[in-house]
Amino acid sequence: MNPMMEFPMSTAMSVSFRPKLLAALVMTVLSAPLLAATPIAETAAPLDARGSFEASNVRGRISVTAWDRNEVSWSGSLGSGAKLIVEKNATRVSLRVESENGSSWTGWNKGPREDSVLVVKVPASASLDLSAVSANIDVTAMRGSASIEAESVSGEVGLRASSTDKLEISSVSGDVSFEGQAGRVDAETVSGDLRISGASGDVSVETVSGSAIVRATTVTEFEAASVSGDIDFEGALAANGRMDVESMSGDVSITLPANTSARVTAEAFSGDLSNAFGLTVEDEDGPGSTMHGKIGGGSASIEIESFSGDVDLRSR
Amino acid sequence: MMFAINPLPKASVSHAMPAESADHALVRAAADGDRHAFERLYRRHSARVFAVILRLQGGDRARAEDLTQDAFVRVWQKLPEFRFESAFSTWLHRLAVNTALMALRSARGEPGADEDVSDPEFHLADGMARLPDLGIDLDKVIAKLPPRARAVLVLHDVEGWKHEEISDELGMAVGSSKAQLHRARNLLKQWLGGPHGRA
Amino acid sequence: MDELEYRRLLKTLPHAIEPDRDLFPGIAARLETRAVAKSQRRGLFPFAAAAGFTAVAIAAGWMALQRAPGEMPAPTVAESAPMMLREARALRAEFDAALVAGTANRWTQVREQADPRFVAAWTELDAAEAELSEALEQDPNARFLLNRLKQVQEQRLHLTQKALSA
Repeated sequence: MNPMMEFPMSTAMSVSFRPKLLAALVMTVLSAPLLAATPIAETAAPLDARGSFEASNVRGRISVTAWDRNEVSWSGSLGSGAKLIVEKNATRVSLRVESENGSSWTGWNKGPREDSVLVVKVPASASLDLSAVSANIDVTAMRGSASIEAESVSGEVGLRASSTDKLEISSVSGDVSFEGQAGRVDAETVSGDLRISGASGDVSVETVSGSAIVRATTVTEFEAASVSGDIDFEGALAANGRMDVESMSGDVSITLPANTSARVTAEAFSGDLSNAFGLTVEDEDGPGSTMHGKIGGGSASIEIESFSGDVDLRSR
Repeated sequence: MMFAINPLPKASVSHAMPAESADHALVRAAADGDRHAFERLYRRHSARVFAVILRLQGGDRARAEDLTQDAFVRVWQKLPEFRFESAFSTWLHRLAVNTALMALRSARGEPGADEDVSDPEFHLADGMARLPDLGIDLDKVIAKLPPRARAVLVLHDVEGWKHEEISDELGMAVGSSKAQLHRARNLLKQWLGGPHGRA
Repeated sequence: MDELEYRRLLKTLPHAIEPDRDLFPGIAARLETRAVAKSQRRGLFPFAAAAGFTAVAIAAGWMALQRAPGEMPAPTVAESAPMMLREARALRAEFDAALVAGTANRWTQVREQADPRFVAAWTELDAAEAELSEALEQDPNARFLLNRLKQVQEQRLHLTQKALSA
């Protein structure tokens, strides 16, 4: 349909003005916020192989994938009212999605009305620092980064097929997941669920009401803390390793290889304690019961404390 | 502003005191610098303090005497902190235990070291499975226990502390405290076995 | 030796033992002259005087800030223990920082206007805090419950700072 034919034209209107006006009217009628978002033209900047990449976005998505170039390349789209602030030098590139007119976005009524999407490729060993409010964050294929930090308030945070020395991921209500290898993982949520899988050194998960599921090859240190979320760990514990689990009412399930060597101390105020390793469960005078003893050579250490959550030590 | 909506528990006001007892009167005087009052507190409580420190120290009287003095010097220094909400003897007792345990920790040189109660050495202390020459002198037998297990046993079975209190003081998990107690008692019973029962 | 025999033996242990010599002269020599002890009250939390104060009581205070004056729960005070004082101090520092940010008076207003996602998270944290306080009442010296409470406090503070920033 040729808009020019639909509307009566006044010969007094300038030719240059009318098409824009009509186009704008068509856009409004179609009323697609997507179309109002402005594409970000693909841009690249050099970055050292082990340099750092930072990004922040309030609403929408931050999507990071590794590649073999010593370069950051980004594209995506900006929701209406948003602008992209770029800072760069040879060792650091930063992309921040902010409000166009400089006013604050905090507060429901003042937030961005549309998603902004950042799609980025970064050097495979770069360090990452990604921050979102309701945007989702996903990271893929990083190899040997020194450090990756990703936090969101209500968005999801997910890392796949990645390896890093140090990983910190958190979300308040979004789910957090990591599949890969890390020297140390620190994952935290309030109500989001946590999923960690892969071969990792030290793993620490903390949640209030989300569930935490950890599937590891071997951990040196495993710390898990929950108020009401369940904790589910399956994996091996290194010979001199340490496991420390605290839960108020979440149930705790720890599955370890049958040939594990560890000293176990578990206690619960009112939760049930059970195990597949022949450890005795004793009732205390008054409330509370304990489960303690040695499995195998007793080299590693396992401490589990629960208030009303059940604790089950399983064998595989 | 904050207090208007959240009245703090009575701990916040230092001059709200319960009914006076002889101890409390002495404590108030001593807290103000009266050394005679402090001496009277010492006379009233020293034997009790010495007993618990002696047991925790494994029967070394000279050491226990030094530590008892240390404990009372600390008491003098900390008297202004005494809250008057509990018995002075309880507060004093805890300070004395803490003093003795700190000394044990630094003597071993490894504050965090936990004796492994499952270690075979634990059971053979000095190569003795039974101590016939000690008969049923319980104090002498308690003194033979390794320091940490002895501390747990003394605090729980002699002094009546709960496991939560013991684990807090010793810096261990409650479960470890229970495990130590369990093993310590078994050892004692083993060592004390004889005419009164099987080992 | 059986259980009964053991307990009988325990009862025979003396609870008071006199040292071999008078220890007081040695003690007296080491006593420093005391400066007059005044009751000290510093700011909101008179910590110097409140050796019995616990993190739970502070937390209860913090909680009280979240509720309308009418619905304040009774603060839970656990058994006094020296280590808890350090925790209480840490919480106090956080609390004071939040205060300095000037949130206290307009808290209700802030909460009403905040992004619903923040509000949902606060509600979640409130619920967790209530459950933890109850659990602590039943098991007052459970260190790990106090750890959880601290975690919840920190999350709340972090969220509040986020909600109020810029």
